[in-house]
Amino acid sequence: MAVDRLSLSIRRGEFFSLLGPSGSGKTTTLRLLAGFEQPDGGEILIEGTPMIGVPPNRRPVNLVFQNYALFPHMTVEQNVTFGLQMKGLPPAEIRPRVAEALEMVQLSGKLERFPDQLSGGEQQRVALARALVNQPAVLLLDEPLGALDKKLRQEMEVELKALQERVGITFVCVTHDQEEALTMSDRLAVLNHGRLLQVGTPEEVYRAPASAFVANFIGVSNGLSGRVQEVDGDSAHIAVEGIGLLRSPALLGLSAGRSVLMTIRPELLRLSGVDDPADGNQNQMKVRIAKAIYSGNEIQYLLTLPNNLTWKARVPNAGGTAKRFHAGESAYVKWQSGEAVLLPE
Amino acid sequence: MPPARPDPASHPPSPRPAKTGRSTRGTGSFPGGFSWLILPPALSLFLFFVVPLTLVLAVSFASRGTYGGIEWTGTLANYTSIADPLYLRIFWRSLWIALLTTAVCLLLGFPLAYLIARAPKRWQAVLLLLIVIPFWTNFLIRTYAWMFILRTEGLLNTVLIALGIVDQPLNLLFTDTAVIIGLVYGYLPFMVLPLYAALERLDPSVIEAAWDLYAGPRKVFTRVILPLAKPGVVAGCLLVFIPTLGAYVTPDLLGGAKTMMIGNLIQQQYLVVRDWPFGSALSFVLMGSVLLAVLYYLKTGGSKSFG
Repeated sequence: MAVDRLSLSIRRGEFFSLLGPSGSGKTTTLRLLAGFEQPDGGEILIEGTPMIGVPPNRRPVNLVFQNYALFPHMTVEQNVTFGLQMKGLPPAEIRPRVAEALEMVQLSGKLERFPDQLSGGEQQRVALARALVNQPAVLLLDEPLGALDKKLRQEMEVELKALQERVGITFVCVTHDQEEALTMSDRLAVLNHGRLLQVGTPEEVYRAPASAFVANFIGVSNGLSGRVQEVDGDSAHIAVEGIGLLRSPALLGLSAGRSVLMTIRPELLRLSGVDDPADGNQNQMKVRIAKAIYSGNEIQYLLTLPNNLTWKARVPNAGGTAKRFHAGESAYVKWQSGEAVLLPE
Repeated sequence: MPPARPDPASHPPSPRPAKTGRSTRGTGSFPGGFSWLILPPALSLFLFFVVPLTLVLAVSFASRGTYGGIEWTGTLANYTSIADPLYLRIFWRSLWIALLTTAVCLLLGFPLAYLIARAPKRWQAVLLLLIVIPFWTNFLIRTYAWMFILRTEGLLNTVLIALGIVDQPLNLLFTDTAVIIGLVYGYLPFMVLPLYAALERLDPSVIEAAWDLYAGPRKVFTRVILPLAKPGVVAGCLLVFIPTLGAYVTPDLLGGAKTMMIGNLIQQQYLVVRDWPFGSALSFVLMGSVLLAVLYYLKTGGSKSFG
């Protein structure tokens, strides 16, 4: 089953992302909204109107396809005109709207071009204009930036969000790229195996992932499994085999003896050569540097923990203030205990 | 083949980046000094196409001798006598039968090609094979088979009477209908294959895009599927129209003496009447009209968009 028991409400005018790995059901969800797939059960409402049994050509939504699916035998202008023409609008009304849409995506100078005469970025903007010109209740985007190169993608993330704010149309965007989803979305949903795992603002999902999968997918790759030894107010002591006791903020209703996953984001870790005395606000572990990767603005370290797990640390490269470590060296990794996130296991 | 353009003349040629080597490479020679490879085909084309054609052309200006020989008189009489209403009617009927056959092939072939192109990949090869399998049997034998199906006591009439649909056997064999049935049967694969090639390349998401942009099934077909399949439609129609216009075996066997087409007329002139000059003139007029029809078709239907 591609999508199972999915319940979601998307607010008018928001940029909403469906985030998940391939096969998570995010594209199926989008196609259900567009009308290309029919659900076995349940309801889909768009602006309060039930959509079950309504074919795609009668739904107030438009889809920006992953490969853009521009009509190869039509010019840019004819492509953008198509939807309004099919709706049966008079030409006098169509022309200014098409001109406006093409101006919005900065393609006014390329009306007479055919899709295969455009660059990938331009084709994508035609696809956007072709959908937006209809002023749909919801604009659906299937991996809209997937086919663009990295630099263009980062520009388009910002541009797309700005465009959405300008037109005020609800955007529902499918992506497997967590960075894209975090940058563009007002809210996002994380899916896996056809199930909804978490819905929230990018900040909520990033800071408080609801499960180990979400934590991992959203970019929190460091985790340690352990058992709760003691809960002390809003702080918990977690016993981790091979490492010892670590402190972390407690979960609601957490009791001693529970298995938990403690996660910490790579950019919150600090590395030091100094062994600090134990302190209630800070955790510390002795690690070995497995690899140090210089990547411009930061250094990424792969750390081997005492229990042989590998963690990742990202240390900003701020003018050489931080001590550089090299592969094979030993170091102490430290983090504020309040910054860890506990997940039930 | 690039997708068909709505009207290339109406917008100025834009600077298109050269995408294929074909457009930039010189057309004159093969790379690496292999131009001699062109010699055998060129030679055989010359010997077996240009030379006989020139002979036929020359003969068409000659006269029939008393005993069927050729007298080199240099006359246009063969061409002027084609204007006889008797022959014009045969030309006209051939044209009609060829056009009707092409239309029926297109109507039957399009849905068939579409279904094959949309079938799962592993089924496509099997389905295409099924289209081509009849070619494994000789065309003459297959046409004889149609005679057995269509004649008064034939398979079709027996079944129709047994089912009580008709009580008198239908007179099918030796009619125009029989000729068209036989031609459609024989040339349908030539329509299906190019259509399949065009439809198979059609990106299904383009169809979905049209559907998403408020086009109903009919508009999706006329505005998107048909224009994108046009190269296949043009190729298929030419591949069916040209050979059916000059068809000889099918009208001879299924049409009998009543339904003569140009092919039969030419055969008769060469082998029965032994008027080679007139047969040659008929051949050239047939060739010329096919050429004109094709040029006209490519000029008008070939560059205009559908819908």
